[in-house]
Amino acid sequence: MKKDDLLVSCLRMVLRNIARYRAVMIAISMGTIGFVMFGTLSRSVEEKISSNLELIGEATVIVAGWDDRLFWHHPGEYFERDAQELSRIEHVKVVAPLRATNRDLTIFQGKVEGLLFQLTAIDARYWKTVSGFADRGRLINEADVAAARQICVIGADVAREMYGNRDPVGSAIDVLGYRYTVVGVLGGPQDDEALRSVFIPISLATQHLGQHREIVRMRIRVDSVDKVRQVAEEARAKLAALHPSLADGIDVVHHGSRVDRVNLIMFLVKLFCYASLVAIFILGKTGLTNVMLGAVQDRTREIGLRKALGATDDSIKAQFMIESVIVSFSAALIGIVGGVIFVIVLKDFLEVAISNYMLSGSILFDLVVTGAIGVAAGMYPSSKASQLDIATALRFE
Amino acid sequence: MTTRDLLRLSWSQVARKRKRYLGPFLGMVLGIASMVTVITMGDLILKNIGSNLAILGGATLIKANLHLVSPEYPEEPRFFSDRDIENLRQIPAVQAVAPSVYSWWPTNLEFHASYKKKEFKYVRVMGVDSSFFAMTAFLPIAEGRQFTEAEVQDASDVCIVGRYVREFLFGKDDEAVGESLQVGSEHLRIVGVLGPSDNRIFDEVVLVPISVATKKIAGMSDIRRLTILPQDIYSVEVVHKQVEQILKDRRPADERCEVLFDRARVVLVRNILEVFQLILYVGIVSVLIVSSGGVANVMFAMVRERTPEIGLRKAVGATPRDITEQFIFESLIVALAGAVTGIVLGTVAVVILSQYVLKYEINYFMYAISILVASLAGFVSGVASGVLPAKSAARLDPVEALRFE
Repeated sequence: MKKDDLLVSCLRMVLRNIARYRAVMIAISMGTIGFVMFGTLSRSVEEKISSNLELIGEATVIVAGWDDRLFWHHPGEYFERDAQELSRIEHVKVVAPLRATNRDLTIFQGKVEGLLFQLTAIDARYWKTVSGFADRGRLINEADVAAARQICVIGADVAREMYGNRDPVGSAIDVLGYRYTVVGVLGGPQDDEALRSVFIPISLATQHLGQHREIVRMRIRVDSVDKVRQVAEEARAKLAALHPSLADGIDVVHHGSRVDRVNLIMFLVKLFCYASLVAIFILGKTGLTNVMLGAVQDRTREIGLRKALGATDDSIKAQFMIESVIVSFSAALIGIVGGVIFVIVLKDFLEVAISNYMLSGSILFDLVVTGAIGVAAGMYPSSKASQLDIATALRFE
Repeated sequence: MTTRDLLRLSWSQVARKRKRYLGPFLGMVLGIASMVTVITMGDLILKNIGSNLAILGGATLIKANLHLVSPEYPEEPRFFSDRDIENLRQIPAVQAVAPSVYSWWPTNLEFHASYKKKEFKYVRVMGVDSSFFAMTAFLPIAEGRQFTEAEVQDASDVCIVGRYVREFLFGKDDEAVGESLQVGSEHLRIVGVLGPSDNRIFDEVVLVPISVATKKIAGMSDIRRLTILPQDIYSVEVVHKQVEQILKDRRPADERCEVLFDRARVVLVRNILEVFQLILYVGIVSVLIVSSGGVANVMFAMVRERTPEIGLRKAVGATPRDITEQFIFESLIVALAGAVTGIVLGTVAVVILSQYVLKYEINYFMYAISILVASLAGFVSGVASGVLPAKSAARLDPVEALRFE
């Protein structure tokens, strides 16, 4: 038989037997829809949960400072070159140097007096280490630091205690004898330090804070929770090498228990997602195997008839292979279209962004597996049937 | 036909056609096993994520503070009374109320902890009662024990130290629990050591029973800070409102009493839980559809293939009712066998996952529900898809049914 003859006859057979193949196609499409949809969505959900966890837990933040427990002020100080060195460590996203007073300042806004606040001098990098966004107004940017503008961003506690319900942006706050114009309020979940701080550009620090250290602390953000411990160790080693005489006073802190907890939550989320995905996958593919086996087995008699009329084993095998390829892939295509539609509908509902990489990955994977299973499940009973004696095949029930 | 005959006939049919029925049977087993696993584990994981999230960063805690006019004068007549605390404990959605006094914010008290000749400077002294530990599940005790109720009531001279304090005063090897520590003018016996916690403050703290702090340590006599733990993340706002009402109602307006919770964190936690809940439902529904759809599909195709057989039975005198009943019983037998096997398999999976992977106790109510839902879906889809094609075949002319291909 010529190849195009074979192809045409197979296509006709599929169309004629469409009622039989309908079950197969439904099984394939459903399995594919489920797999593509859940595979893509679960990955996006994992990513969203993990980024939200990061906002809550700040588990990826490491703080390098000096051990002030034994001396009220440790004599060590950090410099900009330390920050540069640290930012060269692998997996470090950003290093933000800062200078700060103790949390014991009294600040004034007009006639309102506020107690126990902190003046913190930072540059634009700092916001990337506190999950910070401006609740009102704007944050301090690079231009402000370069121009040493006398402005400040205030923490949420400062805004609440000094202003109540008034809008702070544009007003002036007096701290340590200097006056700063408020340009914004820091939003997001923050720790006590950020809540009770008045942030000013770090270029003002030398003049306004007047402490002996160039940089008091550095906040380091790491790009993934898994790397926090490793980066903290490396940072400690690097700082110790840069400040050999003060090595024992270097204080590198990370939230170990938060890292564990974030990892635990992500493990649970992933466990559920993978378990469901595996369940959907197995269910879909066993369904497909089941129906395909049945559909082809039922045609044993037809195979006997074709053999009786002179078809060779090879041509029968080729016929069924092509038929199952046609059925599997056309059904998989329907399933993929359905899956993509579901993904698009549900992604707005779940408020997640879809990574095209995951979507195409799961489509490709499903296509390969579905094709392989479909063809194998179509070939196996047909090749067994073609080996049968013609009389037995015709009698088969 | 009597029911017994019918049963025997169906049974022998199923037994004879077991090779064909393997498809629906397998689909049923896998479908029910996965439903049971996904629903039970999903519920378990959701609960666990909820409690872990609430702990992460103390998102659910509500804090009530009384502000001082000036930190230089810690002895001010502004404090939370025993009655305030008692009133707060009466709120139904409140799980615990922990009063505490600190030597740090909002006072400027300074303490040093000394043992033999070593001194840990600027140690943070904190007075807590026994409910404090129930609330801060993130504060593990590494050695020794927590305070007992009796110690808090009798103001016993005991303390629990943070791990840096322990490390500094006792080194890594010496036993700390049972030793006596001097803080200010008090001698306190160490009964416990804290493990690593979410909040670094607790690494350099000396915890004492709140009665010791208020009665024996100068400058710490008044309670100006309460921490309130609501039942769950969803009751934070309601509890916050009630707490505010109770505390502010009986106070002059110039006493700056603050009742705070971290709205940004609560929103984020809820957001995470919602997203997970949604994906949980999407997962459950997908599994449900794929499994019951799979069963229906195989069953339907299988019974349709038997249309010529149905025609033959009709030709030799079976009524449409006989045929329908036979197929009801056949599909019931298959569904039942599949369900039982599936439930056993699912239970094994759940037990293995919960015992060895998650190490949490499963919720038996959800487990029962999952079995119910899974079996119901399996039975409905299996029996309906077994009976419908048989019914339509039984309505056919026998000749046409026999010719059916």
